[in-house]
Amino acid sequence: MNAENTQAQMRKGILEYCILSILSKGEAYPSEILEALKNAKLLVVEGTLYPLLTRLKNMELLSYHWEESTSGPPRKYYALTEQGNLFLNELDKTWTELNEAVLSLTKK
Amino acid sequence: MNKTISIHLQGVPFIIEEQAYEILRNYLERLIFLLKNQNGVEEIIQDVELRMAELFSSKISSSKQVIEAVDVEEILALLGNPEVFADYENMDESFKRVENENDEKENLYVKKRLFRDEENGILGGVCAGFASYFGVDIVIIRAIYVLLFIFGGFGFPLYIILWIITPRAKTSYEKLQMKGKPVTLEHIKSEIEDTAESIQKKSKAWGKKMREETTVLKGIKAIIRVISISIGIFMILSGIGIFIMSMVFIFGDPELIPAQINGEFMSLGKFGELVAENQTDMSYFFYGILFTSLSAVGLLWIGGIRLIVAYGSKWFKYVSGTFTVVMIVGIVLLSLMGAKTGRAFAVHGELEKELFSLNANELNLVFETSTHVDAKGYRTVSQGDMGVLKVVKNKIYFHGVHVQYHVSSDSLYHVKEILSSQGHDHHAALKKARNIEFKTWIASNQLHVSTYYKFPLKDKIRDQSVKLIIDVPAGKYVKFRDKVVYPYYDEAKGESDEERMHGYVHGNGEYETW
Repeated sequence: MNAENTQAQMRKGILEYCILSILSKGEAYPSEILEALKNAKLLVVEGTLYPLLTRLKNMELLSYHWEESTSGPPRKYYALTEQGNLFLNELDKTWTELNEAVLSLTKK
Repeated sequence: MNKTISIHLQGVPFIIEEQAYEILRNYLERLIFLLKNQNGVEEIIQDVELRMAELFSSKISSSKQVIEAVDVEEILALLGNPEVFADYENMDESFKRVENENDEKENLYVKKRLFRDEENGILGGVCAGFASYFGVDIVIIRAIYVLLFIFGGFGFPLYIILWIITPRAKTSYEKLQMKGKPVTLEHIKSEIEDTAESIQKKSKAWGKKMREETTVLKGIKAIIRVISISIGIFMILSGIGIFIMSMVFIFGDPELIPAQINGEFMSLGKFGELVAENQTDMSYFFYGILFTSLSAVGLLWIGGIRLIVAYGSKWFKYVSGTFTVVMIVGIVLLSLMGAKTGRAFAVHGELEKELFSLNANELNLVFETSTHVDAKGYRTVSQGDMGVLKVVKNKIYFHGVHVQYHVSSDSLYHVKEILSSQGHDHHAALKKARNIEFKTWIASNQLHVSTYYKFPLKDKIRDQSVKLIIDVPAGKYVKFRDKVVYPYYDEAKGESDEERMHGYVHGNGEYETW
């Protein structure tokens, strides 16, 4: 058994939820999202984020707008849409349930 | 010493080592290849390139301005292998696809789409985009287009519409779609190499601009571009107009100059001969006009072409410089001719001659519009010469005679003629005045006045003029067509107005007083 693969799968599964959670606190551009995810040690490589962001945007859970930056390229600020908020609420419930379930099962 | 390459990532320019560039290129190639069928591939690439630009910017400082291989490796490690980009939901599929790539060759071909190719285009890249789409040479598309523009007239609006509706190929992926090349590493490689080459040329100037450019700005720029092209086309067309006009003017015999020579309308060159003092002045005049008008045409064309292609080159500078010099030469020649001719007008000469003294109760003016009476007694009243002057058999004919009235000192009518001319000195002026031929004669109480006067062609036009002075005895009249013209009777005041003492005989025999 390859534990690494399972670990990656587990991380990826909750990554979407975490991205939406980060954005529920306010809009952010990818580097800020990356920073938050890295601090939480959820993300190993940055590449994972981008397809997810695009997918969430295509699902209309996220929207973005451009902002000029004084240093470097313009920034693409992502924000939750109304639909994204509803979606996140659903995920919140599921996470709470899962968390309780896992805790109750793993508690010794 | 290491070779560097200029690139831009989403409009942010970077100078990058050749080796680092190779690594970066391979990475992006692989990424595009892996994501090519995924929804939103362009946006993912855009996000990644933005992040790369951000990370590259952080690697650059005033003491370190070049991105090195080690920087790229570090940044790529941060981003992770291209494989991690494959969305986890599609992961299995995308791996399958990679495995099957040799079996399903058509899968490797990007579906062709019509894009505008701004890199190879002149204006909006519409023609270049079509050329890519149909796989033909761009020159053919442009030629068809120009023909549509000239013969159909709808070429221009058609272009504008296509410009608006056709998307611009922005990303590497779209550029591949535009060309319809199979997405193989080989092709992406050549594509990216092409891009790098053109970016190398443009990125320095454009990189900063593109970053700041919003869509609105781009729209305004496009409108300005359309306007400047319209102005360019207008300049070229008016250049053609001026060219044709000046050719006709200089070499042809247009009816533009109200003058005739031996029954034909006069060309500018011949008109110049009537004024220019000598052959040298004449050639100054001729070449002056020629140089000035042709260089004006040339400058209009060059300016127009420059506006249309929006591409500066030394060639334009040289050619427009040459035209400017030619124009200055032309203006100098015309000024020389003008100055010399002006000198020939410097001195006024005037001759006076007592013509007739007449004892009569009234004097009737009769104007002889044409002296020519044919064998059957017909006098030519009009021969279509509306102009102020004509040239017949080495004589210049002018029409229009001034008349001035005075109160006679005795009981007789006195008629005097004054002939005047300009010349470069007193002698010449008087000689030219003396050469004026003008006919008046008395028959009973009629004063016959020719409306024309003539002088030798060799005298040139030197403001030769003819004036008649008529002394009228107190209480007597001068009549024209049975109407008193002097002393002028003011009906409003009910009295005669002796102040009104000037008259002018027009070429057509009409008479006016003031």
